[in-house]
Amino acid sequence: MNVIENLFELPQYSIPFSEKSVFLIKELNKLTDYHYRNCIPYKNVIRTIYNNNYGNSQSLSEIPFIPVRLFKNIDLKSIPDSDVLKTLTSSGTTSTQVSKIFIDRETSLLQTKALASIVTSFIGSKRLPMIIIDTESSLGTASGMSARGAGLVGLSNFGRNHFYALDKNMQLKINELLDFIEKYSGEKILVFGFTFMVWQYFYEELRKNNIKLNLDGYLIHSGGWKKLTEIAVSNDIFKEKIQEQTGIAKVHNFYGMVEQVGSIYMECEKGYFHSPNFSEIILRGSDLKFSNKIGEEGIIQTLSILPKSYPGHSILTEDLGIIHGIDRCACGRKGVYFSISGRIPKAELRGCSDVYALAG
Amino acid sequence: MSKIIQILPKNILTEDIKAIVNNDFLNLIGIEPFSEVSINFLNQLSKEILSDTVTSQMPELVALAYFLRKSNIINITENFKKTIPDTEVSVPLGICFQIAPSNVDTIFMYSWAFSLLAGNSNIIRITQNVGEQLSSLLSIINRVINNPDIEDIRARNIILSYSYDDNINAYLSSVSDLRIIWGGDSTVQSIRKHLAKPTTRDIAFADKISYSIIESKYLLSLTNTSLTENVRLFYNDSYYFNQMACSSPQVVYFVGDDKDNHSASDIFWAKLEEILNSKAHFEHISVSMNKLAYLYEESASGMDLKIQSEVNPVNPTVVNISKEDIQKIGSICGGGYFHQCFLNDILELNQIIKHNEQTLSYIGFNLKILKNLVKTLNGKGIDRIVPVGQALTFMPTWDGFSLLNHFTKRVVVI
Repeated sequence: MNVIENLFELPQYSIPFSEKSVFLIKELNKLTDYHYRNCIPYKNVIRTIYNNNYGNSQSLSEIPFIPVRLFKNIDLKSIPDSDVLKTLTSSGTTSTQVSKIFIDRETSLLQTKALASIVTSFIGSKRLPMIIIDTESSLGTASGMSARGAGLVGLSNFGRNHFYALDKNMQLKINELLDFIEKYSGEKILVFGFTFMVWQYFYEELRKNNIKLNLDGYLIHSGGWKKLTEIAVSNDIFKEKIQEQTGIAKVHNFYGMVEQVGSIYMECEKGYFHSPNFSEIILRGSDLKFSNKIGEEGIIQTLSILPKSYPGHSILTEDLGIIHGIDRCACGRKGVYFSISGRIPKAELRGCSDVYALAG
Repeated sequence: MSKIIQILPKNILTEDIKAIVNNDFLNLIGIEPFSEVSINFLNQLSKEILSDTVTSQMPELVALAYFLRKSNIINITENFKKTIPDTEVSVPLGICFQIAPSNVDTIFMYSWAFSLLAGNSNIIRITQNVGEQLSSLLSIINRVINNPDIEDIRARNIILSYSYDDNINAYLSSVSDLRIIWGGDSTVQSIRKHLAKPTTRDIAFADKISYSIIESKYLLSLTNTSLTENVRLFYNDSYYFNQMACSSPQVVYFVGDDKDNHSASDIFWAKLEEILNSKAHFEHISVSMNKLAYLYEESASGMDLKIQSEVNPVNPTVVNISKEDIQKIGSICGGGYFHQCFLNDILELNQIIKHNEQTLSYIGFNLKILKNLVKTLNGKGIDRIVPVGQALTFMPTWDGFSLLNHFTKRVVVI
């Protein structure tokens, strides 16, 4: 059994940090070597920025990384075009360009298994009736998929009898929702959606219509807090209000990105994100140097051993986070646990060329 | 109080713009070029900027105020008048429609000043995203425009802030005799697609890139004091607009024999670091991330680079680039990211410079050598060659246009 398969067999969050690091480093070194040989732009990066020093890193922080923005400007893939099974895209908030992530069958399979292994460790392996707080049309097509669509497809594997709760105008289909809940009463239900959409189109609609649900089950959500922070909704308020309106007590946020689908960081009962068996985060300071000081904010670098079809195994994100501890979260899970403090704020760089002119 | 500045709501209709830019406005005849009233208005703006407690603290506005003061403007106009032969009379073009860039607040003021001096009526589109500095500038204009004895200016100038709209731009294009388009390639093309009159002139400011050239032997001969002064001026050219102005240097060429180039490079960057250090330079984290992403992109695209100093928040990022790859430099990075290239002879620039280079700011070299370079280039790239420290100084000839010449018409009388 190879390392990755072994990791799928082991219960999630069961391996202490130092032990996990050893085989992560080994696998990540292999991936760097693999992508160096199969992706020319990546090879160029390793040659120019890392002086061809690769494949023998002794620590996670030595593993070469690429900034997440590179996926927007350069096509990075380590497979022939004919092997591309699907292309995931995400549009950032900062530019009109989209990231393009090329997935082949092998990587897709790894992502699916990884996600299953993580999510089932929270909700059990039985497929639950599932309410998706989104429209069915947001899925996209099989070959081209937005980040939102990819998230939905990934998570929908853990449910059955999927009910898309929003119509194409983003209106909550209240009557059908109540019918669905009625039909599956007595069973645990899985609710999934993007954080802001769950708040705006699910919670707010229920509240406005004075409908209190009595759901037994889970809410899993992701997508960031920017819009909710603007209206002063914290994670605690979010959980409290959701429970008040829907009855759902088990609310789990997760941190993930289209550049590393599969290796998501789920929020535990104590409110911290946890690194699963096959991925890890480290932090870098404003000087971009490794700085994993507990309790100190840093730029998140995320490492995952899943990406084989594209060189995304070590990515410097533009998110800020804080590591709160290692191996000793009160929830009992091993490994690094952390929180996200938001995106790196933008500084305005003025110039003559007016990139946003047409939008301004 | 009348206001010539209107900040319009989003989704403003072309009809609303037509009500503002109406026939009364369009039918006004121009003012005589270089008239007293235009010069006085600019001088009043200058005085107001310098006496206002807020704007007098804003370096970009102070620089503008110095430019607009009477003595400078008279100097510029007198120099221009000398170029007009006895057999010609200079007259206004008519209506000028100007698109200001949304992220350099003051640059439209310079082109507006020249168009005013030319005697044109002006319609100026400014951004909807009015920051503190622009807002302060606008209130100065609003104040001065109500001064007595400049009624002629008040009636002939309109500043509009509206969100980009093809119908509005098409209308304003159709009534203009001169379009001044800032904002780089994409803005230029988006305005150019609107037909103007057959006689309308376009002055378009496209995307440009600028370089510094340093004579290595000369740099090595400088006393520490002159070295510091030269590098301080380079710092101003580079960091004043976060290296994002089109005239800020993106590539630094050291010219000389290999040994001198290396030594000059060493002392130059060490001095720049010293200056940054003395100013406790510490850049915003997003600036570092920007430079990092840019460095990775350049590397991934296969450019032949060698990193001399890495991305960090206190020191400049310096990347050696081969001269063959200079033309692969895409959109500019900014924030203190310099390409460095060693040349043995200044005329090697002839193989490098292609089309969109704007300013060469120099340390060392004599004018004979520089003029010879221009002749060798014979029209390729390069709009101006100026001593280090003057890269950002707005001049009557900009991007190859003698502005007053282009903003006026010559009538031959013989």
